[in-house]
Amino acid sequence: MASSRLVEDLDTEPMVVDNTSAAQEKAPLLPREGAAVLSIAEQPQDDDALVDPPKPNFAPLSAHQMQGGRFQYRKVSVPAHRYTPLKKHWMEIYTPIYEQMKIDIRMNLKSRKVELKTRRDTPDAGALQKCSDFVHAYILGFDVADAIALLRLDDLYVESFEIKDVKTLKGEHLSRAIGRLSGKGGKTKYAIENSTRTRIVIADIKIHILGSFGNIRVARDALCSLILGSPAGKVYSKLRTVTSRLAEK
Amino acid sequence: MAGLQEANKLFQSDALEAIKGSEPSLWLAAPPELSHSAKAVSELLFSVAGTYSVKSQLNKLLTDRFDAEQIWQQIDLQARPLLSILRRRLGYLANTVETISLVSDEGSGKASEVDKRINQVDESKGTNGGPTSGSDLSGSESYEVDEKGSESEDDLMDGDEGTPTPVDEGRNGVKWPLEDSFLKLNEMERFLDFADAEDAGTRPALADDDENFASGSVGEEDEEGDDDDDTQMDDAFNYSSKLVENHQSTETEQLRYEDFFGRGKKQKRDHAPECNTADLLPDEGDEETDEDKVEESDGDQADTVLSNAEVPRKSAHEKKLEKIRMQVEQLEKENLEPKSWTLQGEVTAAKRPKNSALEVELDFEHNVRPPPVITEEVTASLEDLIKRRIGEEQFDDVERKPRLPIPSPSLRTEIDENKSQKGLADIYEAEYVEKSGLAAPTLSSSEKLKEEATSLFKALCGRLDSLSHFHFAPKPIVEDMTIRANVPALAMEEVAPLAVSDASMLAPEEVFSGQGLIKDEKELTQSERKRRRARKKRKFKAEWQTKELAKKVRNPKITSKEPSARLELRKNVHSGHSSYTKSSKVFAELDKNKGRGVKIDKAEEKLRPSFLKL
Repeated sequence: MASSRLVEDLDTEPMVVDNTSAAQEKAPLLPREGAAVLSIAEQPQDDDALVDPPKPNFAPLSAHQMQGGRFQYRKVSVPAHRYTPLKKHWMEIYTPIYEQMKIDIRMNLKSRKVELKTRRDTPDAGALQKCSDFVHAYILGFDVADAIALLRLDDLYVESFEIKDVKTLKGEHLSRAIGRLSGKGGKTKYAIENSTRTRIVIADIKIHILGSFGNIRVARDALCSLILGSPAGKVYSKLRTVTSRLAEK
Repeated sequence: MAGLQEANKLFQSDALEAIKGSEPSLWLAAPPELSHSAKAVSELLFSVAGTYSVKSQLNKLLTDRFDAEQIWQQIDLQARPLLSILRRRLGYLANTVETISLVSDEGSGKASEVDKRINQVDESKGTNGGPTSGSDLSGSESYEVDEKGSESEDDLMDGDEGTPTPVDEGRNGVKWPLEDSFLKLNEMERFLDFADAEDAGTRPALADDDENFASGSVGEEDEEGDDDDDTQMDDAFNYSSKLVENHQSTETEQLRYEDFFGRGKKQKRDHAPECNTADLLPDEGDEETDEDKVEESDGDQADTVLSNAEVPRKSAHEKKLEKIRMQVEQLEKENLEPKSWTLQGEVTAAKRPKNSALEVELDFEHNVRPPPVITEEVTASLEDLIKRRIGEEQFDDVERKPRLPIPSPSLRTEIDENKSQKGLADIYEAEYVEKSGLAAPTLSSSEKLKEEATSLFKALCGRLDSLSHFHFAPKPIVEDMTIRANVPALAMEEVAPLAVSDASMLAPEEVFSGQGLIKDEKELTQSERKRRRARKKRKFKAEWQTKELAKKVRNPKITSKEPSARLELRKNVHSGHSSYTKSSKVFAELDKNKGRGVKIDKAEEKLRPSFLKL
């Protein structure tokens, strides 16, 4: 009985490889998830009509299967001074990761780390890394609204460097350099951010820049020239030319 | 022969006798006879001398109507070439010849001497008559003539250069009358050849050995050239040294006859041919050195000839070395001296002699193109070009440079120094949306300002229009999303002009500002009517009283009867100044009133807040 039904099905319905879950549900007898094709023994023994053997139906592997059916983890440590801001913005971080990227996220209070884990239905293989980068960017100091761009765009990066990489400064000189970088009320920093479409975080001696590659370069040049001592006006004029060129593109 | 005849004529002339016999004092007066005879004598002498000189330019001395100066010049013309030689000869004779005797006495010896001299001096000239004339001049007292004649002959022979003489037959072996033991033509030829062969490489210019040999003219010094000087100098040195060695005497007085003429015929034969030439040469050389050391070239020439025979020949290499050495010495001497102005670097006009730049050939580049030659063709071509250009209107006018458009400050990107309101993701989102066309592009701040400005201006214009003219102008359409509260629905269809019409924008119920239930008078009950009336009265009263009080305060009645109080009150009322500006005065007033007890008016009483309570 079953075999005759099978024959009917084989004759009437066209051999379409349908990967949707609905199709899969419709044809339960068709092999699922890359299972082996029906053996010749199971096939209807119909010597009268020569039937083509069924084409193999390989559904594409999901991300989980691509990784060998194992779950992947990422851990991002949280320094003490970012603990409270993380607590404050936890839901803003959690929601896009869990809902849209489909990655499990939790905060391990004992180890003070944010842990990320793939799920079975994580659609994208690179989602975990992106989420990790997003969390890391937030931990570095960027706003959620800015860090979320990492999730949405592919070609954004975070570059970090220290002031001492550019010029060895100590004591008051260092303080003055930091002051020069940010400007009065942060206006220099905002000027660079707005003109180059990047986000800058100045954390004492570390500087983090978030943006696309070219923009990061421009912002880095501007910051380095500020560290080396050029006045803000000069940096502004350079920025103007660069941004006009970028705008033309 | 002709000369002899002339001479005889001279000697036998009376003029000569006259002159010889004249007293010296007579010459001072210059009588005409003496001058005449002197002229005649000089003519004769001239002719005598003229016979012996072949290259005489004047055959006869012209004295007729000739000035003394002119006569003298004629004589000078003939005698000038002879003077130098004469001087030398005289000197030599004075030194060497011990006894001067008359020709007639020792005619043979002297004559032979003289002959030898003559032969020595002039070898190739081959002139005639010298020795013979000398020998024939017998009985003549004047040896001067003899000497002069011989010397003149000598000189003449010297002056003569290679002119073929008729007597010269000795070249081909025929015995030459001049030849004797002393001079042999063959030997001379051999010597000449020898000298030529030797000097083939180095001194080819020294061909005129004979004349150099004979004469001592100054002019021929330059002919030899400088390349001979050095060798001649060397030869001179060599010769002088040799001379010292050989003769062991530097003084010319100690030189003997033997040195010049050998020891006689017997001894002469023993010498080799070279010795003969050697004998010949030293005579010449000594003669030269003895007589005049000014004539260096002659000495040098003789010396060179001498040295060639005496000193063993130098190799070519040695000669070259010597030559180079002389050149080096010359160069060194030049180097020590200051350079000539042409070799110095920058020379101004003051540093070089005057007009010296004209003599030197200066070569420098003229960086100037030669000016074009204007021909008719050139002008025609130019005119054609001009006409064509005018026709084409292609004037090469200078065009102003187009100024680049300065980017107006509004176009310049402004850098916003404030923290951006949007997050980075939002910025990228907006950009993407704009690019994909899903949403309208957002306005920049400048555009927003522009829009605001235009809307304000529109509104203002609408209002001004409505004020300025009565014809209907519809309200300007303002695209505004906001809902205004008081816009009438039918405003556009209003006929009356907006300025005049009273059409209110508000509905009646919007105008009404009352509250609660409104009842008409007819609808009221009596109690309500009463209540309303009482209320009205109360209200009216209250209002009236406030008015009255205000009036009273403005114009207070003076009610108190005390005159001082009245006065005070009046004062207070009418004086502009209040006495209550100072606190002391206020308290004083209070104290005063406290005693008096202020009477409150009934009217004032009515104005108590408690009384006004409704």
